[in-house]
Amino acid sequence: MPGWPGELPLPVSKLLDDRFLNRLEYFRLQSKRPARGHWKGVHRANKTGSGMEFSDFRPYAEGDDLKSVDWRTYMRLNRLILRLYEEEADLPIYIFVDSSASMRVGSGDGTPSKFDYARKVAGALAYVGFVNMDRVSLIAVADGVIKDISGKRGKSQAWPAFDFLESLPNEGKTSLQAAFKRYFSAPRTKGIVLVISDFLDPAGFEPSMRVLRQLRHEVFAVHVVSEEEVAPNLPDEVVLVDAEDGSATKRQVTPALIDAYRAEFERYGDELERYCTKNGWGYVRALTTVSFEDLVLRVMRQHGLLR
Amino acid sequence: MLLGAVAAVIVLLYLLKPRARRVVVASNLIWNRVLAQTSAVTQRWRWLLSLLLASLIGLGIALALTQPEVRALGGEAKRIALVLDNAPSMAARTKDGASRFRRAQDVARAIVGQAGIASQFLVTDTMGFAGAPGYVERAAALAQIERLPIAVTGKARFPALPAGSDFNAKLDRYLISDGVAEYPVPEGVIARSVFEPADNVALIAFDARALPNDPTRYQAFLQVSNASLEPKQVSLEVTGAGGFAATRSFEVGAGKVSDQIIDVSQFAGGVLHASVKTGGDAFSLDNDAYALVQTHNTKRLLLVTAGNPYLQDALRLLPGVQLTTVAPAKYRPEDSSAKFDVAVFDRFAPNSPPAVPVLLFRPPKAAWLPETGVPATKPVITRWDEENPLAMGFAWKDLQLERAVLTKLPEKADSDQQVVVVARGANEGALVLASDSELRWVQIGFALEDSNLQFQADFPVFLGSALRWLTATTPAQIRSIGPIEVVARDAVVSDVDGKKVQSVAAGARTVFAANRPNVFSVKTPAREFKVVANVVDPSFAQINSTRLADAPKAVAAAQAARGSDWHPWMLLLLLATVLMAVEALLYHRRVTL
Repeated sequence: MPGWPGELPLPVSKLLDDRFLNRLEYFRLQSKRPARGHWKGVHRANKTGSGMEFSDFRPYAEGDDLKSVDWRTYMRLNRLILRLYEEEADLPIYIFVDSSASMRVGSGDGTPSKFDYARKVAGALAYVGFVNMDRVSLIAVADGVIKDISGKRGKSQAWPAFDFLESLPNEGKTSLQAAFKRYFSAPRTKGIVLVISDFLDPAGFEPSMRVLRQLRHEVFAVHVVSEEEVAPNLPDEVVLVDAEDGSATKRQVTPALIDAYRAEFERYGDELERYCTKNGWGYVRALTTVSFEDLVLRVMRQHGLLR
Repeated sequence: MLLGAVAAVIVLLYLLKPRARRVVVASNLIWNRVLAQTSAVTQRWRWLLSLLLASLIGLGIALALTQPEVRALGGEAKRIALVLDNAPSMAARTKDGASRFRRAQDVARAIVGQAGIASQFLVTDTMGFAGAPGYVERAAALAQIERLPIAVTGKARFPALPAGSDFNAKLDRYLISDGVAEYPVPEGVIARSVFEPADNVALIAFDARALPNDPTRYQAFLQVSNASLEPKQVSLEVTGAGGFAATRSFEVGAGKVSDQIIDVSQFAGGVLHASVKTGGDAFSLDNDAYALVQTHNTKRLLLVTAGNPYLQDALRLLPGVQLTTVAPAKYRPEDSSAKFDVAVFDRFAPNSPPAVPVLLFRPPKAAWLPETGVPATKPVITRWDEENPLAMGFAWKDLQLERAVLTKLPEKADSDQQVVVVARGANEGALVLASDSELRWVQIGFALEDSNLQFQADFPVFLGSALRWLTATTPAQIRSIGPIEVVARDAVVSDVDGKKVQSVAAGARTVFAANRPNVFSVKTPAREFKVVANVVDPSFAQINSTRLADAPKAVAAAQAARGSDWHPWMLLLLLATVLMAVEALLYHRRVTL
């Protein structure tokens, strides 16, 4: 991969190809709130500092940096006035990737499994964060936190991040509530929480999302669904085996039953979307048959996550 | 048993269905929510509905294939005897262009079709064509019904039916008839009428004879009967060889008979064909008739007598006769063949037979004549053959005899000799005997002076009849249509058009069938003669005199039955097919499993 002199080579990843990574470098994750990062970044913070954007004036006080004195005003008014600038901070990004067994289904005919799809989306968003010097955390969750890398910054962290995603196991039951509680039990700066999951939590999605709401994070839910979940093609008589707990249910499959399932599945997704919208969060439904590049570059831009 | 077995197999197959496929889904979260809304009871009902439909289909097919005797489905098993009337009147055409007999077959088929599956049938007829059939299954009965022919002649009778005592089933006996032929019908027989009024004009009599006073003149005598229920305009046509034709048109009232006399003297001789035509005639068998006209020219007659002026005068006065009289002493046998057509021997008989036909009055014993019996005094005439042309036209009962010699009656039925008149003296014997052998002769067992014959007014009639019979080149036998038996060994029979007719040799006789009026030539190596077959029974034409009057009911029932000729097995197969279609539809809509 040819690069500019002095530029770091792009990480080699099985998840994302170089061409796509190049395109991602033109984007950054967009937060609706001021960034609360502690490090210099590209996101507007809710405090004045050494940024490029003018914010306000205030009288000079002892100890202030003389570099901030507006000398033209001093010449005109004979008073020491400081020019204040908005602080630009980094953005904490928490990317939760559902690695439970339910994410294993959906592969076939060139279509990735929900887990592979989720990892690609996570890798792409993480890369955008790394490029923009955001503090990126990648957390694999199932019925708890399985694995994580937290607070990484800089493009150089992309390769370890991709390596992390590729090494994730795909097993276990789903309990997002337990995972969120466990992860945020430690002090975390408020930032964007990206949840990439099928949200097929036996307890439902609300308990887990309630945790995030209480923590006042800005949430963006990426609801990964496969085609066989949307429109299942089942034989007339079938034993449905749950991928996570192995529970089996014998059913006679009828068109009416399929229709009822599809309606229920749609309703579940709609409820999740309504919950997110109601809390001012973002929601996008990611069908695995849709190109993930299209999801990232077009759909997520439309939903305001990327700019 | 069958139903139980089929149902058990179907239930077993339902229970032995292959295991359901295991499909791994991401989570049963959504499925459990959906399944909570559907009732397990509904699933059970679906299973039961599927099982019910499959059982009904299976049972329907099983019953249709095995056709067990299920009373509710197949009807009651019976023995049914069907007697079809196939008398000639059943050939009458019906308004729909079929015939009464075809309708009778339809009625019979309907009865067979409506009977129970396991019923047995006996199909027979009133004319004896079916022989002595036994009880058969439905298919064989239908074939027998189809094979039965219509008779053209003969007397119909109700056949004896085997009771079938070893069979417990009920016996129904049906007679399917137009009710025209009269015969006693046993009690308990169910009559089904196929009668329908039909127009019929018939030739019930046809003969051509020479006038008694002038044998050179011939007249045709015809009787035309209108058996229709309304007057009919009839066209009568008499045709013969050489372009002879005579036609008449006249009206005959309903149920009336019209006598027609047509002069056929212009016809030189041979076969005369008479036919009647009328609009809408439904029975063609009696529309034609034939008659044979002898060649009429002057006959040369040799009378050998010692002296008999009455006989001599009577013969001389016969029209068309050229008489030559000689004494017995001057008789030369060699003269007779060349100079004369017929000879009359009065109390004379040569030792050797003459070369020409001969009429003999009380001949003495001769080797070529039958042996005579003892002379009888004042014999009494007991009977005579009214059909014999020699006996026709003469009042035999008025004949008085002083003496006569009665010839022993011939014993063999196939003898060439015809007994014309029988008288009784001490014993009964033939008074007038005729021979139709190679040499034709008529022997009269008395002399004219020993009787009052010469004083009878119809004496010339008798002489004329005898001479005509003797000189007839091809004496015709008048018969009724139907099977005809003639005394002729290994004869070849041909009809009026010269076509060979199939015949059967029966010893010295030959039997053949005349299905329509016709004139047949019967030829043997020794001789040839003609047989005229006509409808001789006047009642033959009466096709509207029926004893049964419920025709519309029976025919309508037959037509209705023919229109709905559904057997239970067909209905079962149809039901199974419909159920399969329902099952397919329900399965497609996932109502059933």
